Amino acid sequence: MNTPMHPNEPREQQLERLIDKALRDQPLRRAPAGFEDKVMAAIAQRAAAPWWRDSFAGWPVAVRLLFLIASVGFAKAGLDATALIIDPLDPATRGASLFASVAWIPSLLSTIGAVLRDLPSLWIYGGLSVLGALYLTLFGVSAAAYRTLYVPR
Amino acid sequence: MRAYQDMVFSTAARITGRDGPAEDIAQQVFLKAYENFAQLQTSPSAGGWLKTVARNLALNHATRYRRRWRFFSEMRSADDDDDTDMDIPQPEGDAVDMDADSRRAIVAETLNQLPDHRRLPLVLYHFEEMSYEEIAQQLGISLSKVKIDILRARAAMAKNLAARGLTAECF
Repeated sequence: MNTPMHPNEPREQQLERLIDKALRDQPLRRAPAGFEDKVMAAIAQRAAAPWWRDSFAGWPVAVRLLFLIASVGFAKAGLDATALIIDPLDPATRGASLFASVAWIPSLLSTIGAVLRDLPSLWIYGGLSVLGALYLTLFGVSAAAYRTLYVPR
Repeated sequence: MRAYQDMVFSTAARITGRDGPAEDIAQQVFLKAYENFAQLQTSPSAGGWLKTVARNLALNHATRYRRRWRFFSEMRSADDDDDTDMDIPQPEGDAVDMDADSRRAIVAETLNQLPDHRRLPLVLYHFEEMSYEEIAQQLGISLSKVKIDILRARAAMAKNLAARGLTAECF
């Protein structure tokens, strides 16, 4: 078991050999009690889970196809809705009822813009400074708490 | 599973340095093994497969965790980095005759006392037999930092072992 030190060996190599011996002498850690039961329970739970809890690759082929078609449909509907919001000035071609349901969005945006324009710039910069200072304070407190309470020495 | 559970758990525990995440990772490893049961059932390298998966999952966990806390854990003052004492310490007590179990317990404790950014490269080098270059690539740090962290980890371990009466003569 003893490892003789070679006097002419550089210190770094002696240190490496010492630590290597010490670490390789370590036995395997024992898995916690009940670990096997937990794994078997997780396997049983996974086996009993419905198909839709599985990954996409595990879904039935027909369901995967339906899902893809539905996704394309949703994407198209989303793009159509975006086009309506961006270009709402042509209600005749878009459908009056749909236009009416989203017509409040441009007016809301213009109201927010008007409020921001009327605010004194000092308020805006002051508010941003306060937010920045609060963020830095929180960050500093978190770092100090981590170093004091958690980080291993 | 019984034949491999200690090996899988040990691999994960040494890399993460924490038993809770190591148990979760070991469980994930066996769930993956269950998914690949058909090919592993007859494979002579099932143990190697399990070890590789355990190491990769544990490294993913450790590097994700490290990235999250990198700023805090590496925000160290200069005096933290001046603890490299190249001397091989002399025994401070009469512990050379200590039994093997006690000696191993002290080594494990000393290893766990190292900060994560030094313990992890040391574990990868000595337990997982990764090269300095592989460790640097895996952890996303420079080669010189890997070498310095491992050197300092060894020095700190040797110093702490000597304080508990364990020196080169004990191994």
